[in-house]
Amino acid sequence: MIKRVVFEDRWLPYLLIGPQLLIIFLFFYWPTGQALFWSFTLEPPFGGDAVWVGLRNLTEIVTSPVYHIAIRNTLIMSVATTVISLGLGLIFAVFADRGLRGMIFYKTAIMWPYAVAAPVAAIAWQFIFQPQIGIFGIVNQWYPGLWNPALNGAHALTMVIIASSWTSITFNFVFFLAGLQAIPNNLVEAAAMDGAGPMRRFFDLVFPLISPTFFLLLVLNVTTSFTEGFGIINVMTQGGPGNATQTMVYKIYQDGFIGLDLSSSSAQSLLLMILIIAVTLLQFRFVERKVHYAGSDKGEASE
Amino acid sequence: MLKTAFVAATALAALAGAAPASAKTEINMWFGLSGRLQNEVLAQCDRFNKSQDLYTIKCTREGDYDEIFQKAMAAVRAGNQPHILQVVDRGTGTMMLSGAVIPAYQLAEEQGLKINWDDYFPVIGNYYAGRDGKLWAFPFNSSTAMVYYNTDALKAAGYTTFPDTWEGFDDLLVALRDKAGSSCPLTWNIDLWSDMEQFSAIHNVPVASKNNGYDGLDAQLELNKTIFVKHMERQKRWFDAGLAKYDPNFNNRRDMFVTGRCAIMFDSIAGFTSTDELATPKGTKWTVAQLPHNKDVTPINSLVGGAALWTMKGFSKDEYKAVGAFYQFIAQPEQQKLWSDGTGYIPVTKSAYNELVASGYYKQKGKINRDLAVQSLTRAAPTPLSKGVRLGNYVEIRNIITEELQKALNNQVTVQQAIDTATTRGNQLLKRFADTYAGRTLP
Repeated sequence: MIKRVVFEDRWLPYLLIGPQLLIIFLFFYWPTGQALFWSFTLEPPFGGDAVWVGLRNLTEIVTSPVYHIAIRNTLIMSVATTVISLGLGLIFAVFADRGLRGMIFYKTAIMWPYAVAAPVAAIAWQFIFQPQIGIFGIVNQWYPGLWNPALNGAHALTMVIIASSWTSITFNFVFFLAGLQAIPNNLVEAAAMDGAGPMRRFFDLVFPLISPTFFLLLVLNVTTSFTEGFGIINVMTQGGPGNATQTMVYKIYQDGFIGLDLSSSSAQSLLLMILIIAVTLLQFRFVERKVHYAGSDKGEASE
Repeated sequence: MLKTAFVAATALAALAGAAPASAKTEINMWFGLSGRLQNEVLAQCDRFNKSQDLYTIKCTREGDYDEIFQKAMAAVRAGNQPHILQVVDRGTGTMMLSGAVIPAYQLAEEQGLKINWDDYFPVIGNYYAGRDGKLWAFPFNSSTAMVYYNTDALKAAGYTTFPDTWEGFDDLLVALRDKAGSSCPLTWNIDLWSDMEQFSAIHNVPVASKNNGYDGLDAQLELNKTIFVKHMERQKRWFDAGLAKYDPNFNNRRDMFVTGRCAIMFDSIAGFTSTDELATPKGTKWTVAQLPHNKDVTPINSLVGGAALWTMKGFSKDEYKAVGAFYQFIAQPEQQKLWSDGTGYIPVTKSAYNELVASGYYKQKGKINRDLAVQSLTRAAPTPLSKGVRLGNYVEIRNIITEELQKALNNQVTVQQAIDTATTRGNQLLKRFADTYAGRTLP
């Protein structure tokens, strides 16, 4: 039986959630509604009479080869950053989850990058990857022209993926470490006494126990990976060279804010929103089934 | 406690808001220049404020050219636009159709401003004028593209003067590498302002139909059919041969030039003073030259770049009086001289330029060859193709052309294919722009 607290005054609950709803309306539903309207019109930059064009904006985008490149880049970035940042975050957390000397120092050091704003991180990585003077540019001394993110699209995309994974590894690390520390020691010790090696213990015991954390982070990482690369891309590559790092969200910015094509930009954000909702629903539908939540009721995840 | 603070703050705000009403008329200007140029704008506003006691102008930098344009869009929609907005050359068409501005000629008529329109250099005035030749905005900072070169490097390569033609430029790059031993003859980027707009104007070839868009919103890009393609192929050859070092970051390029590591760079004349300040302490000897042209061609004027001041709608008569006074103030030859000297921009009026020439300004140390920019702009009377480029969605179109050319540099496509694709994509955007303003025409 679920416990319920009931308000005696009928209007009080509405009054209490009112401010929050107002904020959501002002900063989400209103602009979203506006963007929805613009998606079906041609909106002049300085306002004035918008021309209704029906599905033209959407068809032009969907059929544009450049938009296909943007979708491809978005998916590559999304998968790559999620795999790298979840994977490394988990590995670092497993290593950190022991009674090592100087533990506090390691933990703090690993958490640090999360406090670095994306554009700052991007500038730091730009120094590292700069072909002439950057540390990574040393490969060009071994073999000239081996590393050239200014013109080689694959290099540029790799660079952006590394920089944007770096900032989110730490976020995952913190959550994984908390999840790991919540596992009772006696469980792990019992498994060890039964003769399970470290690998076996991790895959059969530890990982299933932290799977709710893993799922939460997966959803968060995938969702943010669609939008988060923006700060990095804006500083490091501006979507170039030749569209190689142009993601869906960067194209929305470029077309809307630099190109002043508000309608195309709105239509693209509509498409992006649909895509993110679809991906999130898919994850809940298929991945969540495999998640083992502690306790009998699904809603009471222990983390 | 909080309530008292709130009441106090409101009362203070009301007081602060009420105070200036009795004093001078205050107007606002938003501009987009940064660094050294920003200080020069502020100094000019300061001089205006000190020159009279009826008006005050508040000048604020609201980001770069693109950012102030975005902010202005939002501000106009919200009804809190500035009185004066600095808009970059390529935004001219959008501003004319915005419905949010008072044309310069109209303001001058209404305020009875004494402005000698013929005093503006024709190539500058035309960029901001309607088809009837009437100016929509007041020319402010004006420049043109130049070649910056290291004089010692040229001497080492066996040159005493800078070549006039692109064919000669080819030979120069080779000589710099082979004779002068330069590892970086040219520090370079795809810069459509000089590669496409300036080049097309100088050679009197179109960027787009309908006289580069001046005569109608249904203009189409034509750059894939002109010698612009050959010009980009030439530059790709420099790049492939290692004569041109590609670096999309301007500060890096200028750094390579002022330290003497690269012998040549392209930049606007507006960078003259800044380059001087950076190169002199490092002992790098340099000067500027006009952009070369193809051989067997009589070059005409190059194109003006920079920005103009637009008057926004929605203010009182008194405020427009102040706006008019500011425009008249900065057009004075004395102010033009100070502005040009401090920045590197050229004086926008003939009278100010002539006074500078007469006073021997361009013969002074550190100013030599700066007048080459004016000579490049006034080399011939502007033709319908060398007046300017007035296309909708133009910022985005330029980005598209750059993107496609980057693919060509990386050998994914040929230069011709890249420019063909850019033309197709650009024409779609032109169509979108024309449809956004269906039934409207450019003035």
